[in-house]
Amino acid sequence: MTSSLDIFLNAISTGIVLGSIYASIALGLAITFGILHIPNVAHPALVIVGAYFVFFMGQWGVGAIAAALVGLPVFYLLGMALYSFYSRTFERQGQANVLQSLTLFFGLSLVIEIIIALLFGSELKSVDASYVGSSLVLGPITMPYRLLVPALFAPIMIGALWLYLHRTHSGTAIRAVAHDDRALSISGINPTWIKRHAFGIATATAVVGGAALIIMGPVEPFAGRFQIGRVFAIVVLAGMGSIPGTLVVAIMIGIAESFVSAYLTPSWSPGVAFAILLLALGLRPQGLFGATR
Amino acid sequence: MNRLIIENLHAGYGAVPVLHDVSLEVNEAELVALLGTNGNGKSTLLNCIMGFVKPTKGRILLEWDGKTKALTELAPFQIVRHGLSIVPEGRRLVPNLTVEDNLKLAGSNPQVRRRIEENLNFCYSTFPVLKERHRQLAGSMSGGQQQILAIARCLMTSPKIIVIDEPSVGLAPIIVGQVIETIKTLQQETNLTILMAEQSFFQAISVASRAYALAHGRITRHYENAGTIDHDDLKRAMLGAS
Repeated sequence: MTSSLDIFLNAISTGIVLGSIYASIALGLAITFGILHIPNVAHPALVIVGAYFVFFMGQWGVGAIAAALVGLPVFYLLGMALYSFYSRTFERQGQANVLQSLTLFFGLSLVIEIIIALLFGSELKSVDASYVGSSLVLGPITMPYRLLVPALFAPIMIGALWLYLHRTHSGTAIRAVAHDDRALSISGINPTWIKRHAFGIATATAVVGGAALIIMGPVEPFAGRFQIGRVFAIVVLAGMGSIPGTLVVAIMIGIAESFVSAYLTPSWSPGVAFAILLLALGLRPQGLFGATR
Repeated sequence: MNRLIIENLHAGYGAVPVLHDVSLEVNEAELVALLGTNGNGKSTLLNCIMGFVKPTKGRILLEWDGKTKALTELAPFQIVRHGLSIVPEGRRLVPNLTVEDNLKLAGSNPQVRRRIEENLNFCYSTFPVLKERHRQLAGSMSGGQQQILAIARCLMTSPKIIVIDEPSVGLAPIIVGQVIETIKTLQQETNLTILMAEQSFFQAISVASRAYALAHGRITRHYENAGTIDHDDLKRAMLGAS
C-alpha cells in the first residue's frame, strides 16, 4: 500500500538525485557560459558524445565510471581544440558577437548529432552494470541505483572544481578571466591560454555528464536537445559563474519536476525549469547565487 | 642598466591618428613624468608600450643587462614577463578576488613564480594596509587603497620598469597627494625605474626627476630637470605651443 507520505518522500528523493544528475550536465555550461561568457549550446551534444564514448568503452569491457575517468583527458583536449577554433574564428577580431557564437555552437550541436546518428544509427544505446536494475530501499523510500550512482558525480566534480578554482594559481586566473581579461594580461598571464584551459575543463565534464546520462537510462543521438533549455535555465538561475549554486539550483529544479510528475502529469515537467526561471529572475535578476554587478 | 626607449612612434585607432613621431626615454632609477591633459595621447602611448595598441610606425625598446628587446612584436602578457609592468588607469583589479588573490595572480606568472613568497612579503612590508586587508575583496576597498593594491600587484611581477597611468584619476585630492608620495618613496627606496603619466602636473613634477609634455599627440617639451620647470611655460606646452 502506498500512502501519500510515501509518494511525497519518494518525489523529494527522486527530485534530489535527478537534480544532481542535471547538475553534472549543466556544470560545463556553468563554466563556458557562466565564467567565459561563451553561449556553448553544443554542450549537451558533447554530453551525448561523452555518453557514446562511455558506451563504446563498455563494449570493450570498461565500466562506465572507469570510462568517464579515461575520457577526462580526451575531452579536455577536445575542448581545448574547440576553443582554439572558436577564438581563431571570432575572438581574434575583437569581442565575439554573442549571436555569431550562438550560431556557431548551434551548428556544431547539429553536426555532432548527425555524425553520431550516421555513424552509429539512431537506436538507443545503454550500458550494463551490476548495480543497474537493483534499488536501495530505505524505509518508505525506494531509490534505483541507476539514479543514485550517477547522482554522486556532480557533488564530486563540483567539490573538486571548487577546490581547483580557489586553491590553485590557474584556478584563480580562471575566476579572474570571468571579470576582465586585461587584468590577466597585466599580471603577465596569457588570457587566451586560461580561457582555452577553462573550456577544456568544461568539455571534460561532458564525459562525466554523459556517463551519468547513460547509466540513468538509454541514450540516442538527439537526447541532448531535451537538456539544452533545462541546463541554460539552471546556469542562469544559479547566477552566472556560481559553481556550487549550479548544484543547489539543479536539485531545486529536479525536486520541482519530480513533484509535477508525481502530483500533476509527467508531460508538464519539462516546462518546470522555465517556470521557475521566470519567477525567480523577476525577483532576483542576478540569479539566486550570483553576485550583484 | 634598465632603459625604456621609444623611437619615432606613430599610432592611432583605425583612420584616426593619435600619436605623431613620439620619442622619449626612461633611464635606470629615474622617475619620469609624462604630462598631458585628457585626449592628448597619454593613454594611447602607454597602451602602445604595454602592447594593447599596435603602433603604425616606430619602435619601443627595452634594454637590460646589455640586451635589447623590441616590445612592439609582443603580446601584453609577454611584455609583462619581460619586466615592463603597468599600474593601469582605472586600476583594473579583479574586484571579486581578495587582495591576496589579486597579488598572487600577478606573482604566479611563470617568469616570477619561484619568487612569489618573497614578492608577497615585500608588498606586505611596504604596504602594511594590504597585509591587514589581505582577505578583503579588492572591489570593497577605498579608491586610495585600490590604487596601492594596483601598485603592489605591479611589483609582484618583479618589474624592471614600471609604467603608471594617471594614479590620481578618481581619487579625492588629499588621497592623490598620498598616492604620489607613496610612489616617490617607493622609487627612492628601491631605485625603481618609473614612467608616470599624469594630468595633475604640479603634483607630478614635484616628485619627478625629468618630464615630457605631450600635447595633441606630440612631445612639445622635454624638461631635463623637473624641479625647475617654469609653470607658465608648462601651461603653454600643454596647449600645444612650441
